[in-house]
This record gives sequence, structure tokens and C-alpha cells, in this order.
Amino acid sequence: MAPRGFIITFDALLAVSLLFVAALIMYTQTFQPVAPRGVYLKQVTLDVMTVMEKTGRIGIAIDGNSSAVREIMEATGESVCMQLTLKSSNGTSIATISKTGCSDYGKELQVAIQPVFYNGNSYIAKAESWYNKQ
Amino acid sequence: MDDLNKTSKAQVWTIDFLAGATAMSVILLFFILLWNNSANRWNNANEYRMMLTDAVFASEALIATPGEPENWEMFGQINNSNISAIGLADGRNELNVLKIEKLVSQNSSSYSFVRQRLGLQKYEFGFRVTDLKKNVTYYQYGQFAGGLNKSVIFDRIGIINGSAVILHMEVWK
Repeated sequence: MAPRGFIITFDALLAVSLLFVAALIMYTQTFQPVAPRGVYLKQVTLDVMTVMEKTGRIGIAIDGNSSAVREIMEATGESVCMQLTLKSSNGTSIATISKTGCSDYGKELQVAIQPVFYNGNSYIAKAESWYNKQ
Repeated sequence: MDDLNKTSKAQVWTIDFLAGATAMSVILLFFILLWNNSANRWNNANEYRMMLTDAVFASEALIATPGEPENWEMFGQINNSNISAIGLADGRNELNVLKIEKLVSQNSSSYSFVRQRLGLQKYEFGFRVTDLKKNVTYYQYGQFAGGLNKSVIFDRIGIINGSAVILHMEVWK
């Protein structure tokens, strides 16, 4: 009788353990609203590109002064990382300017590309944004 | 002996039954609580997602569209059925000072109407136009929660008279 009882108890423990594992998995699930964050990131990327272009800051960056562009990038929220790449029309890289504290890419990359006409030459400005890893 | 066996068997069965029922009840209760907790978290996440979506689209309407009709700021009262949409921009991200000033001057009388036209009927909202470092507030409209309620807070970047500004927006419940 005793071994049989032990086996039944062991079975029950195993079953209950499995239930608790399942419950633990369910409990630790996080519900992250993903889609709207991507939309917001896209909008911020377009905001930055539009404002930089309309206020002439991209032209200043082409001339070699990145501070005006950086000022706009730093004004985006803490969770947003950003990098601006400027190229001439033949693909030669002119400048790559990153927001402070942003190194490698994180979550949900968004890209905006804008052709820029400045001092009689054509350039390509590419803004890449992503959410900080923290 | 027969009597003794019957008594023992009946007692064991009762203890087994009680133990099983108790274990089952505990497990059932645990799963009901877990289900309730999960449902609450799902509802909160869904509510936040809806609030964020509405807030993002409202900010887009403000910063990227002129409104409908485009010259709505010329109307005496904003609270006017002829105004079907509210926007503050002449072109994308180019904020029109006259539109902002009109809105701010009728803050209390137009608030409910503007909220409705921006699709934020279910929430309260407010926005501030500041310099890039947020040291100077140029304009302020609506109501702010002060961080006490469930809220969605974010910044957009615009232009006023050639200068870059921040449109800080808070939507809350």
C-alpha cells in the first residue's frame, strides 16, 4: 500500500508542477502595445527630417557644422535614438551624425529619405530612428 | 472484521475525497485569480494602446494639417458646427501662430469641442509649444494631469516663424 500511495503522490506532484509552470508562463507574459509605438516613431522621424530640411539645418550640416542638426535630434524623446546620414548624389558619404548616447540599432527601425538640393548640388539625407534598448 | 474493513474503507474514501476536493478547489481558485489578473492586464494594455493610437493621430492632425475649413481661425467662435477638423499647420510641421493663438484665447469655451474634433472624446488632453530645450513655453492649451493619471505623453517637433519648437502633448484619463 505505501509504495503505491507514494507513486500516486509523485504523479500528482508532477501534474501540479506542470500546472504551476503553465501558470507561471501565463503570469509572466507582458502585453506590449507594439503597433502605435511604430507609428509614433515614424512620425518623429518625418518630423525631424522635415524640420531639418525646412529650417536649412541639413545645408549647414553639408557645410560641415553638425550642431544645428544635433540640436533637433537631441530634442526628441529619451526613448528615441536617431542617426542622420548625408550623401552626395553619386553616393559619396559626407557626414553621419548620431544622437548622443545612441550606438547600435535597437527596436523598431524607421527610415526616412529626403532628396536635398543645396548650393546647386543634389544630396540624399537619410534619417534612421529606433527605440533605445533600455 | 467485515465491519472493521467497511469502516476503514469508508473513512479512507472520505479523506481522499476531501483532500482531492480541497486540492481541486485551490487549483481552481488559483486559475480564476490568474485569469482575472491576466484579463486586467490585457485590458490595461489595450486601453493604453487605444489611448496612444488616438493621441498619436490627434497630434498628427494638429501638427500636419490646417484643419477643415483651412481658415477656421477666422471664425468668431471655434465652437462652430461648420468647423469639422482642427489643425494648426500651414504645411507639414509649420505651425500657424494665428491658429494657435485663436485656440489658446478660447481655451475654456472650445475645449470640449476641440477634444471631440481631434477624436479624443474619451480622454482629456493638453499641449504646450516650447523651445527645443523646453525652457520657455510659448503657448499652452487644454488640461494637464500632472502625472497623476493614466496618461500618454510625447513630443513632436514643429516650426514657428522659421524656428524649431516642440509640441509637447499629454493625453490622459
